[in-house]
Amino acid sequence: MNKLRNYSLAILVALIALTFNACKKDPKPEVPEEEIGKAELTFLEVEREEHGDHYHYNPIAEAKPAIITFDSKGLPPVGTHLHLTEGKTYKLTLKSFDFANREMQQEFLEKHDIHQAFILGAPDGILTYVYADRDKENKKISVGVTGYLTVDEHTETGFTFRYVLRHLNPGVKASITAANWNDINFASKFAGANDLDLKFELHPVHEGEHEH
Amino acid sequence: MLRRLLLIPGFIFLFSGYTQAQVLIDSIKLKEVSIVDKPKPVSRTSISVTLSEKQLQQTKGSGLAETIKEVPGVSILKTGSTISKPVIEGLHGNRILILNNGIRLEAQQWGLEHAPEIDPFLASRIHVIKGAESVRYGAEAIGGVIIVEPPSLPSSAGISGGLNLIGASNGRSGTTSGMLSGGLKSLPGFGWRLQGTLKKSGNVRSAEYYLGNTGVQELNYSAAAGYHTAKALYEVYYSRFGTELGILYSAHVGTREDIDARIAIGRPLENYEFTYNISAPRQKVVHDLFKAKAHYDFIDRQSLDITYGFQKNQRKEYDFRRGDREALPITDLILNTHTLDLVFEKQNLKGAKRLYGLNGIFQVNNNIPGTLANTFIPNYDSFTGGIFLIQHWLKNDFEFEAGLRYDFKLFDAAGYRYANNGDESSEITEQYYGGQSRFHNVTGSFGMLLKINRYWQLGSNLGLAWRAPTANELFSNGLHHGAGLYEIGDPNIKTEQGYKWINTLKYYGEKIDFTLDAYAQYINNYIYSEPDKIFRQTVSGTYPIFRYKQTNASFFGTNLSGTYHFSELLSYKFNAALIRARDLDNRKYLPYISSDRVDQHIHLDFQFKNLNNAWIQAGHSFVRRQTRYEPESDYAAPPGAYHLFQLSGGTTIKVGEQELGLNLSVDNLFNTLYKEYMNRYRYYTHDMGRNITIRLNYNF
Repeated sequence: MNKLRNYSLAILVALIALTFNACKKDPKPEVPEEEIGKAELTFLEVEREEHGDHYHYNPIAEAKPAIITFDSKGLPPVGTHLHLTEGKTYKLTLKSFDFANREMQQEFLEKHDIHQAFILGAPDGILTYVYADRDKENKKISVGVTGYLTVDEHTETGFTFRYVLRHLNPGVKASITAANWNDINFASKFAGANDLDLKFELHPVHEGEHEH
Repeated sequence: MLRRLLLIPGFIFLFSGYTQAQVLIDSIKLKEVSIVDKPKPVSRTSISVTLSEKQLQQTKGSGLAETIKEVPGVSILKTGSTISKPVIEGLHGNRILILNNGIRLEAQQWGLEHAPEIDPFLASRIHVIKGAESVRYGAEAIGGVIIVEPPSLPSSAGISGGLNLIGASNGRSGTTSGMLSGGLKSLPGFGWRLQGTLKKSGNVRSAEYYLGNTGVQELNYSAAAGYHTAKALYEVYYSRFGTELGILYSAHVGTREDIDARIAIGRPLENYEFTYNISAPRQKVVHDLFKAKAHYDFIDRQSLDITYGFQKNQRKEYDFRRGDREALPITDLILNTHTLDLVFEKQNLKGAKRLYGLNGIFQVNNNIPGTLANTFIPNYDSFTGGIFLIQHWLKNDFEFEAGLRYDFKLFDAAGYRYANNGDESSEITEQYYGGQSRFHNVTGSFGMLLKINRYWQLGSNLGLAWRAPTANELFSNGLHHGAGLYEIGDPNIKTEQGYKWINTLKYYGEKIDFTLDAYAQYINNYIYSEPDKIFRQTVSGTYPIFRYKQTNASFFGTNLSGTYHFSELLSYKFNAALIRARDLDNRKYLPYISSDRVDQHIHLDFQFKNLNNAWIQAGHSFVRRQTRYEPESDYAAPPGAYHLFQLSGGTTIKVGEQELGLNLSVDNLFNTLYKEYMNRYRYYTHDMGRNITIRLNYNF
């Protein structure tokens, strides 16, 4: 019995020692760096010049940019309504900001093998979009941080323009071509998650048409 | 006589090794109704099924859930091909209890995509208890208990061991597992055992395409040593389970739009090749277990067991992340658990016995800082204390057991979360949360076993079991990465209590034997999560919100299994399970309840030249479509019914003095393209295609 008592005591002491020197740690708030804080889309008019089977885009000195801002919920200011003009081409650039308000769109270009933007919402034949991104070696890549948007036709009323930047699952990007820029079935065809889903009202109008 | 039968195996278990017990069995030779080779760590009034070493041999190389799925009433909840959780009569996760070598497995088992951290190669037997036996085993045994029992330690000199080599075509997987045990001539009564398993598997294939990122790697090992004297037994044990597994790429979803779009197609459009590489999303889990046990026998058939267990569960989950953060875990948790069990047993001359028990569980869960992501569950301390009393009576043909237990749980949590202050349109702010919760519970159980005559046996078990809500049910608040949903807990959730009445009728005839189970279960305050009608808007889109709620639920079901012996060599086996579950408050069906299923096979034993114990078996499984579901609480309707066929065979070959076991099986023989309702990734992919497995087993 003495032996039993000794062993039991040893076990109890060990248990108590193990138990009471370790309690939960005070939690530390994690800064969720994953979240993208805000985003901006800039539309700047350019001149589109035909060069055989492709175009060159030349800056217009006096062009003024139209900037649409989006908050952390992906929403623009209430009442945002942008007019773009039929027949004109715009350089569309994305800026996005991380949790600490630092620009981070460069990250999408660095990881171009898993990122691609889709330009959605326009009725057929209204818009044409061409990816114009470059990687570090200045090679052409299709991401959509920079691109050219041409207004082919005007519409009677505005529509919800949607810019979706996809974070694609491995191996998916290989199946996407530049012609998929407005593929409405992007969610089923190109598996992944959205890094950005930005929406605002866009109205392509005739040259000289009044603001309303 | 019965008393003697009970005492003999008890004696064997305490004072000698398995080998001796085996000899005794071989000499008893009671077919099917054998009084077992060593005593089960399960009460005789429990409704339970034991998988023997021979049965386990046929499924070696699979995870724990696959290993026990042939038990009637057991099914599997899968998350893709890499994660399987066992389900006992409709319940899983924190509603069933897993005992690993006598220690309750304490891990992050609340997660549907968290598989039990157990190496089935450790087991010489696995027992599945289907009753709600919380009195003996403690909280969470609402749906049942799985007991993984390693072989007994040797007690005499000499070294013995075994080696298993397993290769499977699907996933091109290879598994090696070895066990070595021995004793010392200079120290009779001392025994030791070393065991280890190494497994590697690559992308598995459905009938038509590879499933991207479904590789698994596992390295498990254990060591045990024990010493017994005439009146005492001491044991120490350590095991490590380490796994890294890939999560199907195609199941990574973002917004509801993504989910709907993927479901509409129902299979991945991307083509993946075979690879052993595992990349994000992936899980890396390490589970360490240390156990020390002492057993003492006193005069007048009294004994005392003291068992201490320490477990460290480290879970790291990696997801697709922006920037270079994929190398950082998005979830990084360490759960430390200490358990202490004291059981005093007193047996009278007539064989009746009384058990007094005391359990303590102390847990510390910590998030490891640096994930740069919202923590999904808080840091917490948890203390559970329980006392119980079990009385077992024994008559000639009748046994009865009754038990009573009281448990207390203290749960102290603290964490930070990002909340909207109840207003979906406001900005997200950082919030400290947590606090103490206390839970009290009284549970009870009755069990009986009636031997009607030499052919018929009737068992009945009525149990009240409980569990306290888990950390995620109380406090989760955040995006469940990869699953595309926000989960929100409720700190006011109460304990869940399950009343389960299960009956079993057994018949052992000359040509036929069968077991029929029938059960009814009522769960008070059943905790579940349900999609809210609200969506959370973020810069990357909208996500559905799931909230934890409580209801009352009922489960009714029956399992029938039987064998018909055409002759000594040819037999037919049948296994069917049926379950009906309801959310009583809302008059709805509960999700993820297995559909009706039937398994059957024909088995032929034969002798062929030098091949001993040769057998061949052809099997068929039929699974009905689940028609009892709620369309609004699931993304898609359950998949259709399916048939699967299986062919297997085995033999032993004499190699010198020893025998080499050889076993070949082909699962999904016709490479059927199918989906299983109980696979959470059925929305995005089909299940596994044909798989040919070869198993070699050499014991020395």
